[in-house]
Amino acid sequence: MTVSTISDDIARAIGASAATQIEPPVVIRARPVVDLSGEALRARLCIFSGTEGTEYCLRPDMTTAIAGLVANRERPAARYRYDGLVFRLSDDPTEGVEFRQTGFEWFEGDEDSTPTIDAEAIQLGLSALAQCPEERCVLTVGDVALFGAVIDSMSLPGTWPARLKRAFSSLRGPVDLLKAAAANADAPDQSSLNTVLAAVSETEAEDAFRNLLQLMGAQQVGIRRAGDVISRLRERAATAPIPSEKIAALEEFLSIDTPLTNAVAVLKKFGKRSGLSFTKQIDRLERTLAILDNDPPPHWREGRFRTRATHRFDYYDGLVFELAASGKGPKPILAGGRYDGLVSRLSGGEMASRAIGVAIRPDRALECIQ
Amino acid sequence: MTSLKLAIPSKGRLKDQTEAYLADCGLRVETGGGTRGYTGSIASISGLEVWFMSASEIVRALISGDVHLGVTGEDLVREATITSGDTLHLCVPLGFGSARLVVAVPRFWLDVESMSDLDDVGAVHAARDGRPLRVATKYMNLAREYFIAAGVRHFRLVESTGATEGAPANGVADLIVDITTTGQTLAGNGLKILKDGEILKSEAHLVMSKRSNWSGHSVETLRTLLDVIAARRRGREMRILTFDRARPLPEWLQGIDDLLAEPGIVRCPNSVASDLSRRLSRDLQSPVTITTADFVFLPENSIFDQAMSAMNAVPSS
Repeated sequence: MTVSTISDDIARAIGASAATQIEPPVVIRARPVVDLSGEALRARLCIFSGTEGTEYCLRPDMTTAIAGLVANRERPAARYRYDGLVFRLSDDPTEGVEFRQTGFEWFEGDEDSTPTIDAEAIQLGLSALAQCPEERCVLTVGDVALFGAVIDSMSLPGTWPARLKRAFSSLRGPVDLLKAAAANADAPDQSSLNTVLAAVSETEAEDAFRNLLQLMGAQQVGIRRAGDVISRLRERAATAPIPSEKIAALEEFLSIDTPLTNAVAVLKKFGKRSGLSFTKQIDRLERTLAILDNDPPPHWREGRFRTRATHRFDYYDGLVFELAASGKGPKPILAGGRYDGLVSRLSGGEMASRAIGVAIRPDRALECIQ
Repeated sequence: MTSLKLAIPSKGRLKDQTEAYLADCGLRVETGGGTRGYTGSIASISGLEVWFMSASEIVRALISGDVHLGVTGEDLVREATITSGDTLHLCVPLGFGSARLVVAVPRFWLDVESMSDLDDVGAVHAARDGRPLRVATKYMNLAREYFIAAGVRHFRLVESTGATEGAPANGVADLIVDITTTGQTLAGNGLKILKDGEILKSEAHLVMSKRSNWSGHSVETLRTLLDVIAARRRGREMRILTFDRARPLPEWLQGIDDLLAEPGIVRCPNSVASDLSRRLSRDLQSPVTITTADFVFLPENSIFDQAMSAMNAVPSS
């Protein structure tokens, strides 16, 4: 058994679904990739400059490359599957630069069909890895939309909703931000400057600000205008601290880590206890989990649901899931999730399509089997 | 015979401070022959070549193994280590060239005080203007790691080749990550340091390359150099107390750390010398004289031992 044969097995299993084989370009423009995933990924990209100065990179994964084709209307929104090399620099010297990735991206669906499609994607992905011994693998499932729904139903003041949602997919997660929020509750940001600026009209605030700058001897340099700074200062004065019981509720929500079979019950109980309502998302999740419970694929039964589960890219906006070899750290064999907003984002709003994808690393699957 | 190659800065304050440090150790650098003055030597140590190089060249030469030792800042070592792996070993801090690597933003950003404020501002700008905040720096790796660890996502690094602190005024970037000593240059360019914006403190170090050819007499020469440096450091930190040899030493001397006590002579750390002398003088009813110790040589040298284990820890690659 080699990486090659395992890849073929996986590709064959995936090929059972009706999807078109696609081979996206190996060399793609770097800008959209970097814009999507930021500096964190940039260090990992095999990036180079073309003769005209534009930056290109070798595809670091298939998702951005394929979604890009759909966003540009070079390919229609449809089901695709792939099996090819992707390129990433690693700080682990034992890992190479190129490795094979097998999987699928499905651009289709509407609100009603989401649970069925989600379940089908998980079914297909996990079945393709039936050869991996169940006792060596851990399945984790999460739902990025849940956190957003909880935040929305809380009516938090000022800029907190946006900040917390942004923090969700960042490296440290939202927990640190919540701790800072709790600390701030005792000393809210009511500096005299903020309150004064918030109390007067915008024009007066701008005059006051310019006078202050002159007193300080500070010039305006760079992209931000005085207006940007002023509006943010006024916003800060207007942003009350998060009430401690809401912080506690959020912390409780984020700590949910439960077997898949219990997930919906635990979430509903949380909803009831905290008085928060996010029924739409829970119902959707319930439908998805029910389909899979009815006909469980390999690795499903011992799987866990974690509210904190997320992939590093913030374009995932729905169900996320990952199968990893236990004890191997953040190196999943399979990673998948829903990203309904990605095509729209890549096309600047010109084109939209719901989407879900699954990526498998055959080399890691092989390691698990052997 | 493999000469030990020691690279030191070829110009500026760092050159003067390095040569003064070495001269203070009794290791005066003599510029070698040749009209350009790229090489030199140290009279009291044979088998050692001094190479004059720029700061960035020193780091590169250490990483490639072209030189065995170099005097350079910890900031440059840490920046290079991120991509080049574990090829460098910091042997000993030299007590000069202190600076901090900091995140600095325009002073008029009254609403930005911490890294998390930066994340908020960055996100707003990325969404509104379609481009993230640009950070100018020479320290691409350190800056990237620090920003990501601080949870700042919406930023783009711009490599700075010249005066980084001028980048915001030139419109090349919106904020910077740069080295600062007094903070005056930053203030002069309308910049302020974020309250949690200190990335690291740095000072000049003697740095060793694990990748160099350490065969022949190079290790012996290293030992000699490090022995002298260690002895001078110890000497600077110690004082010698002399008094009447005939008087017996009081009991309480046993309880003091870092002390060498014999009839008529005590060697102790600088910080306790004065108090110790007064107490001793009263107890012994004898005059006690304090003199400085120029060098204190000991049979063991932990700095050398650490360098050796670092050298042997790396498999040849």
